[in-house]
Amino acid sequence: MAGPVSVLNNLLKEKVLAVQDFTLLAWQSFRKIFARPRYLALTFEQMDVIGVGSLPVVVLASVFIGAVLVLQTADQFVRFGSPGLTGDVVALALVREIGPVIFALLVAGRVSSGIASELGSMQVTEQVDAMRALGTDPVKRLVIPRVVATVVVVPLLTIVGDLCGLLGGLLASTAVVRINPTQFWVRAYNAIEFGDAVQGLVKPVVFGLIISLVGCYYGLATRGGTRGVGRATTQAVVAASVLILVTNLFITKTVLWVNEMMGW
Amino acid sequence: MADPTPGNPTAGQAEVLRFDDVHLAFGQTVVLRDLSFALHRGETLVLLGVTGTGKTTLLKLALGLLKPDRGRITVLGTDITELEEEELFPLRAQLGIVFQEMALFDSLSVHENVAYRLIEETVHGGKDYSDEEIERRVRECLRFVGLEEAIWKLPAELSGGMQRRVGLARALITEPPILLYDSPTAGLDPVTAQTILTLIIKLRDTRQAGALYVTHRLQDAFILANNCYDSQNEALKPVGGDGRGQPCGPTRFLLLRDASIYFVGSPADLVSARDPYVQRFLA
Ligand SMILES: Nc1ncnc2c1ncn2[C@@H]1O[C@H](COP(=O)(O)OP(=O)(O)O)[C@@H](O)[C@H]1O
Ligand SMILES: [Mg+2]
Repeated sequence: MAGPVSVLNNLLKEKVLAVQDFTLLAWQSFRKIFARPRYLALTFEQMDVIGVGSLPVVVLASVFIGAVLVLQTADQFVRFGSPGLTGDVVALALVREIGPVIFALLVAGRVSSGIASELGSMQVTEQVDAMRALGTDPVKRLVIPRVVATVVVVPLLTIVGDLCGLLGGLLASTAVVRINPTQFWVRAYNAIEFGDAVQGLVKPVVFGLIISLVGCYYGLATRGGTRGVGRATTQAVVAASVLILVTNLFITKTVLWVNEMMGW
Repeated sequence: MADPTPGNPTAGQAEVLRFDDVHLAFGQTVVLRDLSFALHRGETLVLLGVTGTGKTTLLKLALGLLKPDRGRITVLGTDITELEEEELFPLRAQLGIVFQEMALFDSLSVHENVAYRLIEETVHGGKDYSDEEIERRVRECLRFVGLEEAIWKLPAELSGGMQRRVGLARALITEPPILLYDSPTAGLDPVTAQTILTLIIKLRDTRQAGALYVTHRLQDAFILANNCYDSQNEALKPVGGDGRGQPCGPTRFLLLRDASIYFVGSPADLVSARDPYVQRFLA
């Protein structure tokens, strides 16, 4: 009965269904985003929880990432006699790639899991059903405030993170490698072009969408009591992280192509 | 739409909820197979069945939280099978439900939980209830379940039995003509279970709502069938004793087994049934 083929078949079917459900949730969120009722107070509350809550970890991580980037690269540039390039490299790496991706992964670890466990607990204690029974659309009350809050907050966190990262690089280059801080800052600032800024801001918007939607999806799909909540939480973080890394490649490719087309 | 005035002794005639050949499967497992029954105003239908026979699923179908694969579900004369979620919201005000897991919103106070529907309708719907009116109605419902003093507490500060009573109060706020109880005494001690049952009988005998009462505890079913609410003593009194003249809601039993209705009838029919499965269930 349950031969390997049918097991594989069922697994495949399950995955396809999951993707279908996820797409449906995303579509419903977009469709209802401007529909009344709007839960603005809940959205601001989520911005506070997600944004302010994630700020310390992003600031701390970014300072150290900026510093370590300097340590890794400065040596080479000094040897080739152009230590000023350190500022260019740190700035470009941070703004284009490392900033958006690492901050998104950090936020995913906090926020996707937080959303999945909160909505998952509500699901297994029938609070989501109760909400619908009492005349509230869970997509409007639970999903959209979280998605909107995350999409607004992650780019802001990334900007703050990029600045702190540059600051970390500046500190490291002055203290350890002895590069002139003004020179570092000017080179870093001039290295970033319009296209880089676009890339650096498009990515966090998309990642914010992934972080929140994946968390909501796994939370609302939770079955099987408290253990189910644990499982949903872990799955949400893993799925969000993988999706961020995969999407990053495609965004990078697309943005580079657009840059070339537009001559930015 | 047949909607006789409450308190009318012949009100038992009007159908408030109806299932016609309702079929539902989750993947390969058939949970409900071509199920049909009707619930009348003032009547209590006790749904019996072992765990996993689809009792909760049946309640969710009645609310439109789930859609049947085929068949038709009618609530107060409206066929809900084809309705969209948005169209279902106003109709759901006619159905009060007490969930098995209580399902109180744990980030909201007791007041906000009980008032949930009124607050939602005021802030986001067309209705315009004042804060005073909301609080008055919340207090009224909480008084009915004997928990007025808990109004500003959070659900986590209450015991299981108290949470169940708050859940009951939340279901009552719109004075729905249909009430759905999902195992409301599950996991409670006998004394607290008796309190909840007394409230449910009080509700049945004072408001004439139709009720679907899900349970896997047979003793609950017989307490419901054999008692009336005595408003003078604020306690239960047995049917047929001196309880003459007290209109007491009729009770039918409905036993689910293997996705189908295995037995339906009065409590007396159930007791006298010769069927071995029913006998085993009674034992
Ligand atoms: N959302 C769901 N997805 C898949 N199976 C479900 C779902 N909900 C319930 N079931 C299954 O349907 C059956 C009936 O469940 P339920 O109605 O909760 O039973 P009861 O309330 O009588 O204990 C169970 O076997 C359960 O596993
Ligand atoms: Mg159940």
